[in-house]
Amino acid sequence: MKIAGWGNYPALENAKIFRPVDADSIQRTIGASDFSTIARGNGRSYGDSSLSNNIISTLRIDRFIEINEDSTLLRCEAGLTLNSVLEAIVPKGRFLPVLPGADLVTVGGAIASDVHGKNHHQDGSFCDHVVSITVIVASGEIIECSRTNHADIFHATCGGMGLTGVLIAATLKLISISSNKIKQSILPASDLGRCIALIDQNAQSKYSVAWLDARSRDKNFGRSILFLGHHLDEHGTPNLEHPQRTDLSIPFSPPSWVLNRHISRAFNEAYFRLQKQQQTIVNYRSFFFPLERIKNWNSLYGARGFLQYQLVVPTAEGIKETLTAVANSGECSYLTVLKKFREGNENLLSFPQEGYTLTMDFKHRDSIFPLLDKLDNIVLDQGGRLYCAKDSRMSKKMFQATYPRWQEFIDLKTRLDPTHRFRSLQSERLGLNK
Amino acid sequence: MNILIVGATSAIANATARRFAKRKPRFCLLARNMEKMGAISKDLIIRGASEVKCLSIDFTDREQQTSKIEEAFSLYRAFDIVVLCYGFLPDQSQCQDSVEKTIEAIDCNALSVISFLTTLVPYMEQKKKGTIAVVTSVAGDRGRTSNFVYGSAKAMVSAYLQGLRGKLTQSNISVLEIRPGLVDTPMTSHLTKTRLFSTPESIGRKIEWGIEKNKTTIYAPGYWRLIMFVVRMIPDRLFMRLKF
Repeated sequence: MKIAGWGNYPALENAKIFRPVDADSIQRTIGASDFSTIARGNGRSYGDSSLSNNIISTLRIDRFIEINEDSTLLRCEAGLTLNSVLEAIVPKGRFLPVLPGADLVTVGGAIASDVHGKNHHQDGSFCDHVVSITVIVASGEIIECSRTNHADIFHATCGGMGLTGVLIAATLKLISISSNKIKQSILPASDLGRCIALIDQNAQSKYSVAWLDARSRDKNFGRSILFLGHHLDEHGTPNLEHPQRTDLSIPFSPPSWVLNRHISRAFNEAYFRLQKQQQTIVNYRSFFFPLERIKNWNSLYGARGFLQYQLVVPTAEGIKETLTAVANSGECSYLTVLKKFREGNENLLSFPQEGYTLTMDFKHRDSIFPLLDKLDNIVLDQGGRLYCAKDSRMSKKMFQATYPRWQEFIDLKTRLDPTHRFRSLQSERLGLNK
Repeated sequence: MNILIVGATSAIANATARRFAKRKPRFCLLARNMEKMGAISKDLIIRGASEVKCLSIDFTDREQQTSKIEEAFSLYRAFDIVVLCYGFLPDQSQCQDSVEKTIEAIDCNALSVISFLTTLVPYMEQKKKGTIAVVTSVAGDRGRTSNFVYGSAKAMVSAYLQGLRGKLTQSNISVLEIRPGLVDTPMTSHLTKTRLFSTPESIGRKIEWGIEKNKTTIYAPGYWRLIMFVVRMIPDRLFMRLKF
C-alpha cells in the first residue's frame, strides 16, 4: 500500500501495515524475527517520521481506560485522537492543557512528537502535562514510565519520534474550563517589527499565535495578524458542548497549479487588508483548528504534496533573516505562522527551545530544496533547530548540530533496542539508527 | 435511553455504541469475551454512558440465548434500541470441502441470529416501542462464487428481517437492516485493503443515522446500494463466469 505523511511527500510504496488491537498483538508483531518497524498513529506528522516498510498502526488501540474521581487525570490508549478525547472530556468541563493545530493527531503521536500549541510561551509542550506513559519496547516488555519511574525512558520516548518502542497508553493531566468558548482578540500588525513587539507585549495572554503574509515586501514586510485568546468564564449554565468536526472535504486532488502564487497574493491582500482589530467569542474548534474545517486540506497542494518547514530561533533577528531569504528566493510560503516559545524541557529530542518559531508551507517542487538548505544554514548560525514532526529532508549533520543530546538518545535506544528494530525513513536519514 | 448491544466486541458494534454513548444511555453488552467487554464498558462510561452492564454469552448455545435475554430484560425492563452485530467470515474454499464448516458458518451467521431474534421479539412486543437494528452484509444481495456460504447466510437473515418488519409494525417496533460493504475490521484483516474499504466508525455513524431517521434497509456506505444494484442486474449467464 502507498503511504505518506500529511504532507504527501515523501510517499512509500508497498509498505505493510499491521493493525493490532491490543498489547498482545503488538508484542506478537514485534516478536517476529528480523523485523524493523515504526508505530504510526493517524499519519499527521508531515514528513517521513511514520514511514517504514512495516508500519504498526495504533488506530485500533483507542480506548479510554480511566478518569479519576475529580476528573483531573485521564488514562487512555495511544491511538485515540485528540478530537475523541475532547469529545469525551469537554462535556465534563475539562480540556487538554496543550493542543496542536490539528485535532486528528493521536495521543501517541502527540507524545512522540512532543507537540506544542498556541500556549507554549506559558504552559510548555504536550509532554509537560503527561504524567506517565506505557511503552512496548523491542524485547516485547511493557514498560510503565514517568518522571520518577524509568525517567530515562520517559524522557527519551516523549519527543522520541517512536524510536524507543510502541506507545500504547498514557496518563494525561486535564485542565478545567467553564465554557467551550474562547475569547479571541485579533490584532493586525503592519510589519514584522510591530508583530514581534505585539507578541512580546501580550505574553500574558494564554494563547497567542500570528499569521504572517510571507509575500509582503518593503514597508509591509512581515505584516501579520496576531490572534490572542483565553477560555471564556461562563457562569450560570455553561455551554460545554463539543463542536463536531465538519465533514467538508475536497472531493479530488486538484492539479497543483490551482494553488499558485497569484491566488496566494490575492488571498493575502484581501485577508490582511480586511482584518480589523476586534474581539470576538468563538468556539474552541474554530480557534484551535481553523484549517481542519476542510477535512483534507493537504490535498490542495496537489499530488506532489508539500513540505512544512518549522524552525525555532532564539531571537527575532533570525526570523527576519529567514523571511528575507524566502522573500528573495521567489518561492512562496502559502501559510506562515509565527509564535513565541518559552524554554524547552528535559526530553532528549523535544523541539521547543526559548525563542520564536516560524512555520511555512511550501509546495513540493525541485526548486524548493536549495532554498530550504539555505534556511537550514541560517537556523544553524542563529542557534536554532528544525521540528522533526514536520521534517522530510533535514541532513544528519544539521540534526546532530542542533539537537545536542542525540548521542545520549542513541545510547539509550541501543540499550532498549539493541538491533534497532524501531526505525523510520527519518531516523535512518538523521543517523538515529546504527 | 436503554441500549442492548449484541456482539458488543465486534468493531462495528463497538463503533455504534460509541456514537450513542454521548447521549448518556444505559448499555447492556452481550458478547463472548468478558475481559474485552470490561475494557469496552470502561471506555463507554468515559465517553458519556451512564451505566454499562456486561453479560457473557455463547451465541450458538440456544439455551444461553434464552437465559441471557431474560437477564438483560430483568436488568433494564425495556430497550429502546437493540443492535445485533455478530458473525464471522468463513473461508469459502474450506466450506466447499466440508459440510461441518458450512453448517458452522450458517449456524453462527444466520440460524443463531434468527433464534436470537425469535426469543427477543416477544419481550420487545410487550413494551410496544423501540428499534431492532441488525447488521447483515452486501454479500447477501447475490451469491458470488468467492463468498456464497457467508452470502447465503446473510441473505437468510435479510429475508427474515423483511418479514419481521411487517409483523412488528403493529407493535410500533422498527426493524432496521444495515448492509455494510467492505469494512476494515479484524474480521477482514487478511484481505488486501482497497479504496472500497470503509472504517467501522463510518458504519457506526450510518447505523446511528438509520436508527434516528427510522430507515428500513440501508447500505453503508450508501454507494453500495448502487454497486449491488448493478451486481444484481448482471444476467446469470454472465455472472456465473465472473470470479469475484
